[in-house]
Amino acid sequence: MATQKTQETDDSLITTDVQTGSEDRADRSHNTVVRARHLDVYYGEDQALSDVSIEIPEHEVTAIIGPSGCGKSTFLRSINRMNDQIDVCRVDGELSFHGKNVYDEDVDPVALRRKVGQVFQKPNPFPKSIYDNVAYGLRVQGKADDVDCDAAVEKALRGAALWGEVNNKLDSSGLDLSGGQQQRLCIARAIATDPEVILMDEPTSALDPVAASKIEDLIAELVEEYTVIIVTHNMQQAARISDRTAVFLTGGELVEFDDTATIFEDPADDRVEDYITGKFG
Amino acid sequence: MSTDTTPATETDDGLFADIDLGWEHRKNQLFLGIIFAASMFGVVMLVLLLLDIATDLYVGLTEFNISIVDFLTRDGSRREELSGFRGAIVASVMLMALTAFLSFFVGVGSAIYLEEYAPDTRITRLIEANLANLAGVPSIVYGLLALAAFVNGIGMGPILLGGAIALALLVMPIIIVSTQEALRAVPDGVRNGSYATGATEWQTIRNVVLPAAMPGILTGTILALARAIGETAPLIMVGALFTNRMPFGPFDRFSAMPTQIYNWAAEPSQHFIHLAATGIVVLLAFMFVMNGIAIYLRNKYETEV
Repeated sequence: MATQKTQETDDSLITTDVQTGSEDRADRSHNTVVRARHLDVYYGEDQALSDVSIEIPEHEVTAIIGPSGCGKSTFLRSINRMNDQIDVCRVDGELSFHGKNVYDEDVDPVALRRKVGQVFQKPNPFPKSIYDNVAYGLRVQGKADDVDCDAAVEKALRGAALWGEVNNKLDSSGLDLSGGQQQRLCIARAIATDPEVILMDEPTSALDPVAASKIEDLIAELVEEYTVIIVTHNMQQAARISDRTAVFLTGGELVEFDDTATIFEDPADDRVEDYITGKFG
Repeated sequence: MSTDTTPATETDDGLFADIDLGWEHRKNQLFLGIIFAASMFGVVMLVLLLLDIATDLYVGLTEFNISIVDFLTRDGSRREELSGFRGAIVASVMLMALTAFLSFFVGVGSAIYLEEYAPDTRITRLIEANLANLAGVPSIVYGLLALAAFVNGIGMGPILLGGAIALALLVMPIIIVSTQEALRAVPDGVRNGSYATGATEWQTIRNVVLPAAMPGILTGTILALARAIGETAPLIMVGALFTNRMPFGPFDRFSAMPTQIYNWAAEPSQHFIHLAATGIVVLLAFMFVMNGIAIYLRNKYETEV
């Protein structure tokens, strides 16, 4: 009981601390939702992330860019502990969600993933009907009986800008859709359970430009309700859709994190400028 | 028109005249002929086998007046003109059902454990290597095991359950290996999609992985059972011989289709030999139907996932 109380106090302390921190930047009134402090991630002997510290604000699009193998996806997957799926993966340091370190003993990764959804690089709908794909999260999370499932599915599909294209064929297989539609179906699946944060790992890299621009438009709408963290290879995309940009460079190091405009127009670090202007990477 | 074509052809001849592929093409044809003959060898053997059985069946039906209806509705008998196959068919069907029940859940369960849960350790690899070994053990050894451990060991006697245990042990490694392959064929992206939606491991396996893998699992299981239905040696070992009555439950003595055929074929009387041929036709019909179901399932679902 006593321990519990201390824990609560600790948490609220952290939260207050965060709020004070954000008040310093009065123009950005958002709370920090995901924060890393001295985060190291290893795959066996290889270090994929090295001493990453970052504070990602609520209700904004944060883009993570960098060359291949710089640890962008590793960072994304460490937020919802999808790295747990990899046997040799080891995490040091702190990565907190609303002030709570998600790598604490008492955090259940399944519960964490119910608050932090993810959309993958390759569209991965289940071999089920469109309806069942979207309702899947509600069912596994035991919410399907409490809410109006039909309404929730429609809301999610509308939210993913897919309703108009599929509302007359909800029973057909999700695999029969085109690649871009499949990816929007995966976004609908992720938002159906109403998470707080949506992680996107290069969600448009497997899509044609038209489908990709639909996803980009969608991200701009999603950020009204959710916090979006997106890994992208495409610097133009990061510049178009994100509020903040984090630049990782080879070695798993976070080199610079700032407003997207600052990163692209006046980066503080020379290596970032070289990367942005295409001198390497 | 001809004036247009001729100079063009001459140019082409000139263009490739320095390349002589004649010998290479003949080698290609020769190799094609050899591998085609190799692949036809099996088909020819199967046709010869079927012809032989069909002849025996025809002779049996005409010269020995074996009635198909009587054959299917009478049990075995010491008297050849009264002997039928019903007891053996019923025994084989019950054997298959029991074998499937005994081997399916354990086999699929261990495959799920090995493929989805087990860490990649030395013990896991040892288990997997030994599964491959088990799949290669001669079937009579399983019969000996069932005889020593169950029929005599715990005093079960030569009953149908004993035969089903022997066959279940025989097909289990095959079911495990084919289930593992079916699970491996489910793309990881689908698993990750489920985990990222906040599903537990069991929810992911139950709702996503198993439904996607089920056609493959069923195909593997049916093919394994189709092999088991023709197995004779392990049933002889557990004592499924010289029984003519139809079994009514797993604790009755029995003689299945292959052992009944084996029994008849060893009789000196020609009538019994032709009863055996008729029995073979029935057994083959069962196998073809089971293989047909497996192929149907595979084709029906292979476009998905």
